[in-house]
Formats: sequence, C-alpha cells, structure tokens
Amino acid sequence: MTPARPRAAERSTTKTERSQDFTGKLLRGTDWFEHYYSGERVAVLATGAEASSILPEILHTAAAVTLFEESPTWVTPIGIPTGVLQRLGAKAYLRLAVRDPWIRRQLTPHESYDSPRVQVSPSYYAALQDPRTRLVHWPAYAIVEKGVRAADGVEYQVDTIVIGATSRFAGSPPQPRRNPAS
Amino acid sequence: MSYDFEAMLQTIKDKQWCLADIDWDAPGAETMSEETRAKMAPFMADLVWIEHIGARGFAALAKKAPTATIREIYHYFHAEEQKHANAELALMRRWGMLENGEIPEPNINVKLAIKVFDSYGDDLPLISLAALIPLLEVALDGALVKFLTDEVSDPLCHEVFRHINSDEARHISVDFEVLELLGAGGSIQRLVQTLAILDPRVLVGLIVVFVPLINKVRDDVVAMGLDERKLMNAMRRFEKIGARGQNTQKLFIYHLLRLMAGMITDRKHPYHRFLADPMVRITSYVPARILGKPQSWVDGLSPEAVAS
Ligand SMILES: [Fe+2]
Ligand SMILES: [Fe+2]
Repeated sequence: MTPARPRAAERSTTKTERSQDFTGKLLRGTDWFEHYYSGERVAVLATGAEASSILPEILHTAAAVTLFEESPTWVTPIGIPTGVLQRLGAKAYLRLAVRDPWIRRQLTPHESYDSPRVQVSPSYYAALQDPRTRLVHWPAYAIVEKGVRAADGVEYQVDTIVIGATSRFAGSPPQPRRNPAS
Repeated sequence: MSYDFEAMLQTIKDKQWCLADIDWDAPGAETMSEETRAKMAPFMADLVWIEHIGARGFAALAKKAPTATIREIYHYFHAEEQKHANAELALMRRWGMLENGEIPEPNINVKLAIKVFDSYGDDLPLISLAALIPLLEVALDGALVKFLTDEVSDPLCHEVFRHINSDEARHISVDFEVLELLGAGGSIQRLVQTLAILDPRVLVGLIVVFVPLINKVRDDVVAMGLDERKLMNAMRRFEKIGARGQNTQKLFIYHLLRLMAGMITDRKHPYHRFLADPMVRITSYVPARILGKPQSWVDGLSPEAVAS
C-alpha cells in the first residue's frame, strides 16, 4: 500500500491557519499515515482514489469514520491489466461487493466527468460498508470548531479530520460564511 | 451572450448554510395555534417529501449534466433540496408535528415518484427532467412556500425560509439557463428532444406520477385556503421566465408543460375531470406493498442539525 503523497511543498499556509477554528486534530498530506486513531471519530475529505487506501487503514483503529468522498473511483480487488477487462472487472466487483443499489450508484464514477483510472483495493468496499463507516456524498463546505459542515445542512462532528493530498480542500480548507442568506 | 455557470457555482458555494446556523429553540414556537398546527402538519409532510423528490431529481440530472460545471451545480442542488427537507423537518419538530420524533410517512403519490426514480430515474432523457423541475420549483416557491409563510407567524419559520428562498432563486435561474442551453442545439437535436416525450418512461412519469402528485397537493392546499390566484401567478412565472429565453421557446416540452401549468391552475379545465382527478383516484387504490422496498436514499432525512 502506498500512502498518497502531498502535492507541493509550498502548499498555502495562510488559509490553513484559519482552519485552526477546528479544535480537534487536522491531518494533511501523508500525516494520516502516522496518526493513531484509537477510539476517535474521524472525518476524511478525499477523492475516491485516495480514500480507497486511507479508509481501510484508518478503520483498523478508529471508532467511526465519516468519509466525504469527493469523486467516486473504479476499484478492483486485485490488479488487472489496463483495458476493457479491467473496466468490466471493476463494474462486476462493484455489483458483487456492494449490496445497496443507491450506495452502488453513489460509488459509480461518471462516464465523462470522473477519472477512468482503476484503483486496486481489496478492502475498500468492505470498509465502506462497515457499520462504523458513514459515506457522505454531499459536498463539504466548511470546517468549524467541532467538525465538518456539508451542503445537506448537517454538521458532522468529529475528533480528527484527514484532508487527502488530492482533495479539493488540500490547498485551502473550506471556510464558513457568516451571513449566507444576506 | 452565454450564461456564466462557473460564476453561479462559486455563488452557490459561497452561500452555503446549515441547520446549526439556526437557533431552533428561539422563542416564537408558541405563536403556532392548535388549529394551525393541525392544519399545517399534513401540508408540511407533503412539503418535506416534495423537497426530497426534488433532491432525487437533481441527482438524476447530475448524471446527465451537459457540462462538468453544471454537474457540480446539480450536485449542490441535490444536497440543498435535502437540506430544505431537513430544515422543514426541524420546523415540524419545533411545532410538535413529528409523532415520536418520526419522519412522516410519504403519501402514495410520493411513493410512486420514488418508485419511478428508483426504477429508471437515471435513464430518463435529460430534457424531460430539466423541463419538469423548474415547473415544480416555481409552483413550490411561488405558491406552497408563500402559503406557508403567510399562514405561520413564527419568526423562525420566516428566517428558515429566507435561507430556503435564497437557494431556490438560484435553482430557478439555473433551471431556466439549462433549458436555454438545451434549446440552443440544432434542429436534429430538437427533434430528438421532442421525441423524448414519446418515451414510455417519460409518459408514465408524467401521467402516473407527476399529474396526480401535483393535483393532490394542489387541491389539498386550496382546500386549506390557498388563494388560487397565487397558484396562477406562480405558474405564470414559468411562462414569463421561459418567454425570456429565445432557445427555451424552441423546446416542445417547455410549451407542453406551459400549457399543462395553465390547466393545473384552472380547476374548470377538462384536464381535471378527464385526467388529473381520475389519476388521483386510481393511484389512491395502489397498495404501497406492491411497490417494494424503496432505495436507501429515502432514509436520508433528519431534523438533527448535528451528526456525530
Ligand atoms: Fe427546495
Ligand atoms: Fe429547488
């Protein structure tokens, strides 16, 4: 398993500081790999490609994980050479490994707008369906004192937040607005 | 000049709000009289479920979106409709309308809509949902929500709907801009769009689901005291905004729905006697059992501002 690498060293820090609003631990880049999650409620903000390696790992010790999967990814349990067979394998694997048709729909990448790349992860789908995992497809929009706020109007409270290196929040974590309706 | 969907997406992101922004225990709940409570409870339940169906509609649109930006906008709208349903549930709880804290049961017409979405919602031609949703939204926004805010004096209700209406204004403007985009295609494309109406799934969706769903709510709300002129004004808005779009005018389905909107408003129109009323009656006999178990998205609603 390869931990995702942080993109650039000059990652903006000014905006990072503002998210110190969050009173728990905020892990970026590869920090998630070294953290010990025992008993913690964790939020993961990541693309599916990254989440497929982060989630199973964190779930070993975390009490609960809320995954904000930003874009779904194709997954196969074992490596299959690139090509039609790989795509068919990924589709069949999703069909077999995920029972709930709505979750399956959420996990299906879009033909033209999502990455066609296939990740190898024998444990991602099992981890997603673990009772301790909550899969969220609503866009996250703010990190606040106690957790993550999403566009469904719910604040997901957690002890630790992991921001994946390729997450759209990797550069600047989402910020709350004061008077949204005005 | 083409519309800037990118800028709209940014506005949507900037305007996000959540249930925790609202003080659900603020004073004002006591202004709800026993009589209004009894009257509004079934209305609120319908409203919650229509938002939730609208949410599912945007989910289906997201799959078919013509550009990546519009897809992301739909993604947010999907979430926002869910947020509206959640906020309305929180209002229901505040007013003591949730029995044992339970989510109200959807009526049979909502259940049929759920069934259609579960069975082939993602396969419906883009144009059909793209045209139907703005009609639903102007009706909801201009008639149902207005009715609610006129009837209820609880200031918190007004605060919640300021947020909701601000979202809805963006929904409606995007809805019509997408129609405008779809109408801009060539004549072949428009022919295909016109033929989409003949797709049996669209016909079933329209006649078995949309017609009775809308008519039932329509009659319920009018029986509660909604001024029919408000309904008429709301539907006129569909016509008015559509009339501003040169390309929207070229869409057959837009004109079909425009005419339908007029018929829905006019209770004396034969549409009611020959189509809508019979459909409401027939669907009321459908046993929910035969529809089977709905997909898990229907369990996604909650009045809780916080999940931990
Ligand atoms: Fe709404
Ligand atoms: Fe809407």
